[in-house]
Amino acid sequence: MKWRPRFRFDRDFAFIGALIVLALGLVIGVINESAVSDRKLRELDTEAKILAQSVVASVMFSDQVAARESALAFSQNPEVDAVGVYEQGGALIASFSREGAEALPPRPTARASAYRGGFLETIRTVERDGQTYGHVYLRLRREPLLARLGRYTPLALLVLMTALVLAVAGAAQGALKRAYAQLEQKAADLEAANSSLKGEIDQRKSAEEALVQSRKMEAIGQLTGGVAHDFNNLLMVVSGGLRMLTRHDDPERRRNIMEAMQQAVERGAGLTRQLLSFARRQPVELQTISVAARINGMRSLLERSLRADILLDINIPEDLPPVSTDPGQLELAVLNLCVNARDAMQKGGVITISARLGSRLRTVEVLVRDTGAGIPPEILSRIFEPYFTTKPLGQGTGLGLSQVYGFAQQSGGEARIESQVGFGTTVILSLPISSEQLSAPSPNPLPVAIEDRSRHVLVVEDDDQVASTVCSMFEDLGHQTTRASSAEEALSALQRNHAFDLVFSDIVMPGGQNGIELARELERIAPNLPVLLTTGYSGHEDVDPGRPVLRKPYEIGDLREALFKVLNRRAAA
Amino acid sequence: MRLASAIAMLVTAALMGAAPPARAQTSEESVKATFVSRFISFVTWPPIEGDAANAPVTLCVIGAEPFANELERVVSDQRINGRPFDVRRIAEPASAARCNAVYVVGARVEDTLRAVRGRPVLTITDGAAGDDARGIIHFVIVDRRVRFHIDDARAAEGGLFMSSRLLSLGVSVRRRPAS
Repeated sequence: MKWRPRFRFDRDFAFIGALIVLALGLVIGVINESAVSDRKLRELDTEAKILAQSVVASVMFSDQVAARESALAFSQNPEVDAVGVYEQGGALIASFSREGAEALPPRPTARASAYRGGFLETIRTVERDGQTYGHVYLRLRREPLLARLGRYTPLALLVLMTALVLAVAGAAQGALKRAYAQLEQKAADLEAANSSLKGEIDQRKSAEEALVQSRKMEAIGQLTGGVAHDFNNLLMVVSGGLRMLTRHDDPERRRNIMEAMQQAVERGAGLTRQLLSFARRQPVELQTISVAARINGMRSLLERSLRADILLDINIPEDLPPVSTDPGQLELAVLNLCVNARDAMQKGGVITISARLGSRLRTVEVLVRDTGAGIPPEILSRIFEPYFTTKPLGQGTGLGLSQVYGFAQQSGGEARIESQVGFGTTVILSLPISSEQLSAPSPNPLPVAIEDRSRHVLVVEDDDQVASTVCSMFEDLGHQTTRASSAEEALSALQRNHAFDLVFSDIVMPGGQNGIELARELERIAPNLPVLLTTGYSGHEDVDPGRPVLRKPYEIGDLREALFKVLNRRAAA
Repeated sequence: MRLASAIAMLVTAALMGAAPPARAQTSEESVKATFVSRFISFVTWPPIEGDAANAPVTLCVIGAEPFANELERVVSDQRINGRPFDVRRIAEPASAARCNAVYVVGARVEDTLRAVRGRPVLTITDGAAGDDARGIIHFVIVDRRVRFHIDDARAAEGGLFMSSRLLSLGVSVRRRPAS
């Protein structure tokens, strides 16, 4: 609460100032008028004196004619209303009065000069040498009120103007003050509005966060459902296969069953890879590849993934420049797009995979077009969001297009989508042209010479089943294994036996040191002992650069390759 | 006679207002006496050595006893600038030379005028009384009122100065020669 004085100095001062000026003007006018009146009275006295002087002889010698002449002489003054000349005895011997003027007093009674009505009048004795011989009466018309007021017009105007100026100045000052106060009020309102707006923004932000969170939860539900469905299918194949293996002895039949199981496991591995890729945890391995070769190589895989009522048309020019991208991810992206296209064409159609030089410089665009239902515009903007899916629960993870988008981004390119409801959808993958020559198409065949020697491998793995599988793999490769269930156990085993050729350790282990810490410890105490790490989780970005890591799940071939690389590097060093 | 009576009544009424005309015959005399006393105010005498500032104004009357009486009555309580009046009845015209003013009627008019000619004496004659010879001031009756002729030239001879206010009232004025 601000203290507001009741006396507003500026405005009230102006008002009071105006009043003072008015009062001063009035006082000056009154004083002046009174002075004028006094002067008029003195003038009257003087006139009367002159009259008395001029008629003294006429009065003394009773010369009415001369007295009358003197009186008439005074009539020249327009202010004179009446003149009377009386003898000593009181008789009027000469007079003059204007038309309609009041009658002269019948007998002179001495009185002081005074205002009476609209006139000033006086009676004066006629004297000569100390003797009184008669009286004169003189009556002047008072100046008309309007004329008198007219005399004060300039003063009045001046005073009024001054008062007006003061009043206006005061009012203006007051208005200015009010305007300023209003401005202040507005500024305060604005501030309040601003802060409430900020509050609303915060509210909205938290509402959006809540929405994102709920979408995430919804997405996790979708994902869980999708993954569970896929994995259940795979587990069905594997468990069914295992059961069948126990019942069938026919080698041909057993091989078919195991092939199916193997495929199921591969698909499961692909699924987890896909999941990790969406989580952007899968490191991108950029290679220089030919788009035409890679996608043409996928034809049989794609045809198997599609239905019979869908025609696949791959039309990629061979002479496109090579691109820099992750080939596995590219294949996955194309597969995802084709599966989406398939699902969009419930009544059959054509999937066209083509490629061309991009509109952006130094890019190659891969287009996957379908003739399906198309995507409504309101969904189109969300289509690349992770976990977003239009498929029923359990039929999709919502990660397909997100993988496409993330992969394109990671490759330094982009993904965009064009769709028209009822006519189909086109997804365009834009990939940067590589500045390098094409890489060698396939990994080198492993030299058998290095690994013909049997090695003693210390396998560090907390999971008994995994450890048993891994040990079997090493033994299949002709190596000898010792198993430790933790880093501490591994270190004590190493202290007891210095004959190990390699330490193969899982990274994630419960309690104590993990694989990375173990590797560092080993580098310190046994720098010449090769260490190969393995993990099913891709989060270990803190693995020392250059240290080989075998990612789960792996097959025996992958293990042999990794083992070869580690030992070969060690041998080369 | 009726005319004179009427004049006297009018003049008396004019001078005295409501005062009743007690003596009609002396009323004209009274007016003239009053006038004589008042002429003094309008005449300036040359300064006379040895004269006191409050010396009486000497008014001489020759050949008019009633008038002298009337004049005495009029001026009895009057003063002019603090000076009283002294009314003298004289017989010899030569004596008039010592007077400030002399009122003369009858046979001695011309002698008197001759006697004071060139002297500072205000001579007053009266045409209303039938005299033709004129002094400096000569009474006449005009429109039934007492009026007078003024001979300023004669006044100038005696060194007298007549006020213009008085001159303006003269029925006729004989101007003094321009100096």
